[in-house]
Amino acid sequence: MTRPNFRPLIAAGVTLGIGMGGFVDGILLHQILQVHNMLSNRRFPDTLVNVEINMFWDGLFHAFTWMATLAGIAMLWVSTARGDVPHSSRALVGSLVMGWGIFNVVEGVIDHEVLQIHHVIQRAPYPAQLYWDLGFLLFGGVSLIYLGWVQLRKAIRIRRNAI
Amino acid sequence: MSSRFIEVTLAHFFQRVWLDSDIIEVQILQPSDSKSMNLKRVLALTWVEFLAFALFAASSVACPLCHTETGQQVRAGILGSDFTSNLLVILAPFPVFALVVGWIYYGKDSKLK
Repeated sequence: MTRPNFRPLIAAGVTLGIGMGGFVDGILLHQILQVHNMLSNRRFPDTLVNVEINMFWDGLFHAFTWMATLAGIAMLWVSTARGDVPHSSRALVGSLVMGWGIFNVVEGVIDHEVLQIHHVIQRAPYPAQLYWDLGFLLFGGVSLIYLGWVQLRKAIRIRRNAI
Repeated sequence: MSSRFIEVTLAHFFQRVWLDSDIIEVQILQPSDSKSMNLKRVLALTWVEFLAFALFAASSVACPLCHTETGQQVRAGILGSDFTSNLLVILAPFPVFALVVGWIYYGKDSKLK
């Protein structure tokens, strides 16, 4: 029996997780809670004009997360046709969670810390703003990557033991 | 848009969506040769109508701010001198995502196999 190849499944799951993580960020933080927008550190959304401008850039960002989701679906579809890729729900869920965490870490580091185009809680005063950003990286990023990785390792171990 | 164009467009739209017959189409476009209207032509016409609505009707009716001073300020704010810089910073995470996924897919780590 050939050794199962998890890579295509993990890559598809992580891509889907990145896309869906982008949607969680946009829907929950931008639209429902309205704690920040894409350019809220450059154009603070306290006027209708600035709200509309931020809405445009939010939309553009979501268009790209939609494309990431589409790419993930395509990769998942292709991986299901391969005989060497295991059909493991645990591996897929682990990859999705890891992708979500990767989205939060990359977006958190680049957008919140390096470019500073927005912060997690834009209206918070400076030290609190930084703590929220770091909390987001820790709980929304690193923790999710770890949880996803644990599930992945478990899925790989179970499959190996079954051979 | 002329009222005649809107009338024909609406007739086509509602005929295909609601009525399931070609009576209106025969009366408006082809009174003597209704049998020659094949499916491809009907579909093509539907798309033309849809695009016409999307391009002309929707842009003038659906956008509540387009013709206001606020709308002009919004457009100026989006398409200003910082447009390219904003675009680049907003898209900045995506090449990193692509690198991570590429590393997972093509990587040599045998633990994932």
